[in-house]
Amino acid sequence: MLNKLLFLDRGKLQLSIVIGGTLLGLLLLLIPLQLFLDFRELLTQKTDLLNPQYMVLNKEVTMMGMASDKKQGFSTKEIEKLKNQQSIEEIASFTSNNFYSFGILEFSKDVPRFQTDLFLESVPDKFLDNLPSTWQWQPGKDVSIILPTDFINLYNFSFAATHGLPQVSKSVVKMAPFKIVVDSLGNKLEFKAHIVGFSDRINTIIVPLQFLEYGNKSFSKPDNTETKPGKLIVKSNDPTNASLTNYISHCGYETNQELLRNARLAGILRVVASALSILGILIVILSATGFFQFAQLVLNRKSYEVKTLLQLGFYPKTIWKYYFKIFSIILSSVLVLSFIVIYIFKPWFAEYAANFGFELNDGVSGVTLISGIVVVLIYLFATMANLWREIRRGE
Amino acid sequence: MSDSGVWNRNYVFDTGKYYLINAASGKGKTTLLSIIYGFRSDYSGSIILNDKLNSTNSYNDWALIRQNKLSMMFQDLRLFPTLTALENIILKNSLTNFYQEEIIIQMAEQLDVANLLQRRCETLSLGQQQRIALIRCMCQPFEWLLLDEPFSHLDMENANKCMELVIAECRKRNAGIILTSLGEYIQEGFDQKIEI
Repeated sequence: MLNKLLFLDRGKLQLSIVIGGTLLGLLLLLIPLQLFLDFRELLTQKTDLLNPQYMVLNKEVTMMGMASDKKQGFSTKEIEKLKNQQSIEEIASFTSNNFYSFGILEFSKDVPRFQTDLFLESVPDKFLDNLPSTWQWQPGKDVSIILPTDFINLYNFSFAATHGLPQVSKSVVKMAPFKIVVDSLGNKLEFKAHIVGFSDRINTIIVPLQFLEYGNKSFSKPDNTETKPGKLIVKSNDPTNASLTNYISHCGYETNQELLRNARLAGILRVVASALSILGILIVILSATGFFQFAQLVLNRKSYEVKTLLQLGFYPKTIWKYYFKIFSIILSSVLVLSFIVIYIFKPWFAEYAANFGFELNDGVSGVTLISGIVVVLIYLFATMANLWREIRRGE
Repeated sequence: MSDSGVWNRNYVFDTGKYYLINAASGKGKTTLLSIIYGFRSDYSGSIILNDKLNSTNSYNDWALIRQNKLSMMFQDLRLFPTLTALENIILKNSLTNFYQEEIIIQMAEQLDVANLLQRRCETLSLGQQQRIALIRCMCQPFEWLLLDEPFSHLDMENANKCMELVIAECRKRNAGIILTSLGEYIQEGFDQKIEI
């Protein structure tokens, strides 16, 4: 009976408008939030064996450098100065092979074998992530190899397609029987090798440091003087640090473009996210006032009923509890509706984003769901606090 | 209001006695009852009910008082027009579950409104509404029955029937009556008459 008395007997349109407005406000907050979380995840993906926190630096090849006799590389002094930059934790140089070697890929006697000259490089183990336990090398063991992802892509999309050869997947490549042949100082030695992983961030083949050091010691030409390292790997706790990137460009060093691009993207993302979140909060506040006023409207329209009930001896709490129930139901429905909308929207948007090369996942983050619940609870709390005041005032 | 019987002086309403307050319109009959019943607080002085000061009552105290100690029939009736007569009565009754529905119907028959119980209050005449409102007042325990011009839309015969019901219910509870009137029919049967 209270139901008949206390809620709107007409004004279904107003109710629909309020529900629509609240829903819209909620969606305008939650959808950008979800997208922000997705894109942020994209930027911080760690699937590479070379950790994105590690930068690869090399010196730009200039005309002057080409004209000079000296091989271009980082001097000890330059390395020291770099080490002292803020946000740089560790530096190491890439070691490369000073001996001639080539690689052979031979599946069987019937299939033509592949052969290529090898440019090998290495860094200390601690700069590599997710190394398999078999990485460390000793004489007699197979050599583990990390390949640039580009090699696979080049093979699959450029070479294989035009030569009518089958494309390979990363897992197939990992099973391929690879051989490294060293041909130096009259020695010709074969080493069995396996590709254990891939990286987007390198452009040469990475082998265990132990293997290269052994090779360089055993096979390199005796007249090889102390060379300056051409590439450095740098560990930074904040690669997007502005002073660091400024120093790097000031010195004329080059670094993997992707990192810079990511840093820039991360910066843009942060700015956009801040703007959106302020906007989102304002919109939520706006739609909250709409809901707030609706509740007030209901109470105003029912002021005779509320007043009379109090005069008959009903507890204010009884009336308040009734409205709490009603508005909880309304807000819960809005919340559930908004979740449904987001769950439908996400897969559609992920597909849309894939057209631009962004791989977003289909799901909805828990943070989004919790934010939705928190916002709705705030609406409810504010509305009911006001109603409590108003009901008692109706004396 | 300097020579009025109630304002600006101390007055005691004794338990279980019947008081009639006669006054022309605008003299403050409704105000007095409103103040006693607690929904007006714009007065100076003090009202004490059973040794407790009215002004110290909380909202919850008032709810309890209106459920158990004071029953009021309002001058403007305060029925819910969209509910039926019976629903209006049961709404009040449900606060204390005082009477069974049969008793309510009996009272309605006593006042000739039993056939109206299923009709929405907004379709009833003022006289019929007054009788419904009166029955509603009876559906609770009380120590005092406050009636504000309760028979203003009734003829003599109906007014008498109502008064019979009122006195019967008050005797059951040993309750007192404060009835305000413009000075019309019902003038007998009261312990004290006050002119303001």
